[in-house]
Amino acid sequence: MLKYVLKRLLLLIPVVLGITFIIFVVLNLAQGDPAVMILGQDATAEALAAKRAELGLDKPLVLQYIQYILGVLHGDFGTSWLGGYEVLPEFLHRIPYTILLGSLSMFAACIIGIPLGIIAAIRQYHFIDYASLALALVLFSLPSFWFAMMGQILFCLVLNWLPSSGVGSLAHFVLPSITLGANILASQLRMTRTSMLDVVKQDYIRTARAKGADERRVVVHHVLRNGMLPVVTQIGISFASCMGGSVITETVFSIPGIGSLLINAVKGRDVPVVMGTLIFIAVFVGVINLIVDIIYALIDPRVKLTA
Amino acid sequence: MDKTLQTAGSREALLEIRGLHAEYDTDDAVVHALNGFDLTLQRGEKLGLVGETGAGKTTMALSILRLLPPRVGKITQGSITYDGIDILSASPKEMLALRGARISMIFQDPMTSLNPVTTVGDQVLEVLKLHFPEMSREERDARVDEIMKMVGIPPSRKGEYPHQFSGGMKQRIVIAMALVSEPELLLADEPTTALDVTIQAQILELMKQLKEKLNSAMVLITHDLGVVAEFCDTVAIVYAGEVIEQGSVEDVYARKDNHPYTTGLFNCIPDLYTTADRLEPIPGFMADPTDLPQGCSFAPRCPHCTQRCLQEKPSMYLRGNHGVKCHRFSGKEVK
Amino acid sequence: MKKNLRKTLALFLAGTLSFVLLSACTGDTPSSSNAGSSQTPAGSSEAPGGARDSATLATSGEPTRFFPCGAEGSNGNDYLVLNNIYDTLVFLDPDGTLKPCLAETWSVSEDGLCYTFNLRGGVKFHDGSAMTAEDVVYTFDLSVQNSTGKALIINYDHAEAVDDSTVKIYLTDPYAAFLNGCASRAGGIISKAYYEQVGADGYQKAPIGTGPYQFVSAVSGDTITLKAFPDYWNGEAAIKNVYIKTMTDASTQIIALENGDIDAIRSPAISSCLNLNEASGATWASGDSAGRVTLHISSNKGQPGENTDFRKAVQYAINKADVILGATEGYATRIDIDMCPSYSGHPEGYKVVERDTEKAKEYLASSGYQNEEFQIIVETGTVSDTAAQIIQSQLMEIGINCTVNAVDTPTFNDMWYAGTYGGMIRNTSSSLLDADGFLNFFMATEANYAQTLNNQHARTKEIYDLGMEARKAQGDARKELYLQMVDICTDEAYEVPLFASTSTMAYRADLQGVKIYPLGVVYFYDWS
Repeated sequence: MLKYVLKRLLLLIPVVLGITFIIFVVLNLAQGDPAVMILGQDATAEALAAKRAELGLDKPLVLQYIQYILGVLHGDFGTSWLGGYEVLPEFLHRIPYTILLGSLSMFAACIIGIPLGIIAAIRQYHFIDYASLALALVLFSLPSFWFAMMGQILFCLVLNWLPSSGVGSLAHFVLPSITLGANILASQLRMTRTSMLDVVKQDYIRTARAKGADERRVVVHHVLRNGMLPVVTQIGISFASCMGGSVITETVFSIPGIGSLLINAVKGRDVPVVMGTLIFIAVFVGVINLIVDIIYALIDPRVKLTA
Repeated sequence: MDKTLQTAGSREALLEIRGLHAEYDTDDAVVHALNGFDLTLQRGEKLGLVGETGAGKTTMALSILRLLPPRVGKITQGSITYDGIDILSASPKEMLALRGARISMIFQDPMTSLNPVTTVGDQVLEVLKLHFPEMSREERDARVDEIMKMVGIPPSRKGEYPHQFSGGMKQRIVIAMALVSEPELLLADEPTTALDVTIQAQILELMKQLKEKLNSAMVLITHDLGVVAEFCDTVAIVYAGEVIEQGSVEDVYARKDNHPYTTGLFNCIPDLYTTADRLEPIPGFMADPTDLPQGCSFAPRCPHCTQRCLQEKPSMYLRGNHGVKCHRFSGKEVK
Repeated sequence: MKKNLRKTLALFLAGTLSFVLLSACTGDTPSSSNAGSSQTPAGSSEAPGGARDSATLATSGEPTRFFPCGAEGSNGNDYLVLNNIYDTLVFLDPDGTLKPCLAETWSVSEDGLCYTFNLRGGVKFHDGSAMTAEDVVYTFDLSVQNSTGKALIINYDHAEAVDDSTVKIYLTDPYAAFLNGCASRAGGIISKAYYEQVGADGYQKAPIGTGPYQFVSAVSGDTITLKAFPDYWNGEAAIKNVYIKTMTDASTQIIALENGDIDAIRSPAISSCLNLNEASGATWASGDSAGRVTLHISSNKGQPGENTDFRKAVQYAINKADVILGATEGYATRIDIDMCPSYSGHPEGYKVVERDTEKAKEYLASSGYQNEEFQIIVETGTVSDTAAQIIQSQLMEIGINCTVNAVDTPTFNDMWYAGTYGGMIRNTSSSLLDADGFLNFFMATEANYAQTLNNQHARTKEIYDLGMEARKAQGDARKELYLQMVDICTDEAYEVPLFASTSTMAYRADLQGVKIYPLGVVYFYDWS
C-alpha cells in the first residue's frame, strides 16, 4: 500500500510539470504585456523595457520556465507582478476559503443528492423518481450565476435571512455553497440512482431475497453496499471539479478564495500567480484522486492497488 | 434444529401446483411463460424438471418463492400450495419466513449469485441470522463451519470474498447457503450448467452425498437428461409452460409410451454404442410464448399430429403414476 | 480481523479527509485573525445618539499599493486608499478650486520656475512624529522617480527645505498645472524617517501618512480597514471606521447596498444606478468626471484612416447625441475636443463638427474607400464598448465596413501600443484635471509615452511642439496654444471626441456629506 501511495505521488510530478508547462506557454502566447499592466499607461518605453528585463521576459520561454520551476523547488513561488505580494503566503491565506466553500458545497450536495438518488432508485417509476430526475435536470441546466443572483434577491433582499456577500461567518457561505453545490447535486443524484438501479438488477440481489431477507435488509445491506462504490469515486471527481467551479461563485459572492485570485491573475496576465494557483490545483486534484482510489480499494475487496 | 409448523401428515403432498399461469408483461409483447402448469411433489422426493431453454422452468421456481420480477412478472391464474399454505395469498411476512428457511433456491450462475463485497462466511451466516435469531453466536459459527465442511470448503476460508474462489467453489458456497437451514424443499435451477464438465461431476457428486444426509425434497431443474437419470427419483418434462409428461425415472426412461417431445429429446442424445452420421434434432422451433397455438402446443412439430391435436388441448392422461399430455394416450388411461 | 482492519482504515481515511477539509472551518473566516474585521463589517453600526460611526464602501477595482512612491507608482484604484491616508500640499475640490491642505499659503515666482509653500504647523504623522519640510522634499524627490510621479509632477527639478515649515520647489520649465500635480496621488507626503527605517516594502505593509485616516489592515481580495486618526490636524473624522470591500460583481454590489450590507458603491454603472430600488433606502448621485471617451482613428499605413478624407467621413457620420443616450442613458456631456470642460487651460472658440451624413458620404467617396474593414477596438464590457457598437451602426449607414473588436485589457493594450487597429475608443482621464492631459497620451513624439510610438500622425510633431510651449505658458496665452492644437486635431480628424463621462456613486440615503469627485475617489473625511 505504501509503495502504491509513493508511486502515485511521484507520478504527480510529471503531471504537474506538464500542466504548468502548457499553461506557461499559453500565457506567454496570449496577447498582453505584463509590463504595461504593472507600470500603467504612463510608463515610458524605456521603463517598460527595463521592467520586462527585470521579469525575465526577454529570455527564451524554456529558460524562463526552468527558472520558475527551480524557484518553486526551493519554495519560492515568486511575487505577484500586479500586486507585489509573495505568491505562496497569499495563496495559503486564501486557500481555506476555497476549500471551505468546496467542502460545504460537496456536503450539501451529497447530503441531499445521494439519499434522493437512493430513494429514486428504490421507488423507480413512482412520483419521487420522476421528481428527482426533474430536479436533477433543472439544477444541472440552470447556470450557477443565475442561481446566485436569484438566491441573493430572495434570501437577502426579500427575506433578509442571509448576508449577500463577503465572508464573516458560516452564514455567508450558505448561498455560495448552494450555488456551487447545485450542479454537483444533480450529478450525484443521477449517479447514485443509476448505480443503485444497476445493482438492483444483479443476480445476487435475487439471491438475497431468496434467502428471505426483507426489503430493508436487501436495500441497506446488499444494494447500498454495492451501489455506493461508484458514488464514492464520483464524490472525489466532483470535489476536484469544485476547485474550478468556484471561480464564478467566488466572483459573484466576493469570496477571497483562489478562484477569484486565479481569474484576476489571468485577466492581468500575472504569470506567477496563475502558475502558483495551477500547481496547487493540480496537486490537490491529484491527491484527492489518490485518496479516493485508496478508499475505494479499502471498501471494495475486489480492487487491489498494484504498485 | 427445531422447525416450526410441521403440518399434519407426511401423506399429504409437500408441494402442489395446479393450473399455474404466469406471464411477463414486456414493452413489446406479453410472454406467456407458464400455461397451466401442474405439479405435485412429496416430501423427500427428488424430482427432475427437464425442458429446453425458455420452457418456463425457472419461472416456475421463482413463482413458488414469489420472486418474479416486480411489475413485469405476473401470476395470472392457478394455485400453489406448500405444506397446506396457499402461497399466492400468503402475506409478505409469511413468504419471508419461508424463503431461505423452508424453501431454498440455488441459482444458475454462481459467478453472479454472490454479493461481491461480503465475505462468503457472512453470506452463509446471513441465512441463520435471518431465520434463527435465537441461536447464539457460537452456535451459528459452528453451524456455518459444519455446512461449509459438508460442501467441501475449508472453514478457514470463511473470511474470504467470492472473487477469491473458482466457479465450482462458488457454487458450493451457494449450495451451502441453500442448505444451512435444512430446508424442506430445495429448488436447484440448473446448478451445474454454468460449470465445466469436470466440476459438474464434482458438484453432482456432492449433491448426491448431501442427498443421503438431508431429507429435503428437491426440484432439480436441468436440460440434461443424463443428470436426471443419475440423481432423481421422478422426472417431469416441460414444454411451452406446461408439464407434458411426468413419472418415475424408470417409467419415463423406459422409452415406451412417451410423449413425442420426450421421444424427440431422447433421440437427440447420441448413442454411445451405435455409430451415427447425423444427429436427430426435433424439427421446428420451440413454440413462441407470445403467440401460442390453439391446441396442443407441440402439435406443429409433432410427427403424429392429428386434426384433434391442432384444435383441442390434451389433458394429462395417466397410466399408473406415468402421465403423458398427448391425445395418443387418451382412452388408454389406466388408473 | 483483516476485514475489520480494512473497514476501520477506510472510515479513518474518509474521516481524515472530511476533517482536513472542514478544519478550514476552524481557520474559518481568517479575516477574523486579521485585526478588526471579525465582527462582520456588513452594514454600519450606529453609535449611540443616532450618528453612524462606521461605513463600508464597495469597489470593483481593488486598491493594492499603499505606498505612492514605490517603484511601480500607483493607479486610480490605489488612489482610493492613498487619498485618505496621505495629505497633499494642496487639495483639489470637486469644482476645481485649489484649497490649502498641508500648505497654508503658497506663491509662485514671476518666471513660474519656483513655488514656495508655507507649511502648516502641528501636523503629525500617524506614528506621532511631526511633519516637516524635510518630509516634503524627500517625498517629491522620491515620487518623480516612478512613472506615475514623472507623469503627474511635470518639469520637476529639485526641492529645498528652507526651514522646517517652508519648502521651495524648483521646476526646469514653468508648468501651469503644477499645483494640480501636487494635489494628485503622486503628491501624498510620506515620512522620511519612517521610510528610511522600514524601506519601500515595510512602508507598503504598514503605511503612515498625515491624512485623516490610518491604515489598519488589508486582506487581499476582501477588505481594507481604515480608522480615523485622532490627532488629525483638521479634527478627527466623523466616521471612525472605514471598510473598503472588493466586490467585483456589479449585481452583488447593488443587492448588498439595497440590503444595507454596505453603505456605498464606488463608480457604479449608470444603468445599475437607474435600476436602484430607492425604496430600500439607497440613492445615487453623479457629477463631472475627469475622464472623457474619445474615438481615436489610426492613420497608420494599411488602415483605412491613413486617408484623411476617410477620417473626415467618420467624423461627420457620427451622431454624438445617440451615442450619449445609448451608452450613458443621457447622463454624459457632449465634448468636441479631447478634454473635459473642467480641465484647467481648456480653450474656447474651437472648431466644432456637426453631424452631416451627406458630407460624410462625399468624403467617403472622395477617399477612394474600397470597403476595407475598419475595426474599432474597445475594452470589453465598458461604456466604450457600448459606444463603439452604436458608432458601428452609424458608420455602416454611410457605407463603411465597420467591425467592433471587444477584448480584455491586456490584449487591448497590446493592440493599441502596436498600432494595429482602425479605430480605438477609450475612456481616458487626466489625473491632473489639466488640458495637458490631452497631449502626451496620444500626441507625443518622444519615447516618454510608449503607446504613442506606433501611433504617429502626420502632424503629431506639430501638435506636440505646440504642447510643449503650452506647458510653460500661462493664462490666456496658454489657452490660445491649446486652441491651435485642438483645431489641428479637428481639421485632420485624428480623433472624434464623444462625451465627458460622469463620475457616479451609489450610497445609503442616510449617509451625509457624500461628494462626487471627478477622479472617482472617495474622501471619507466628508462623510457622516
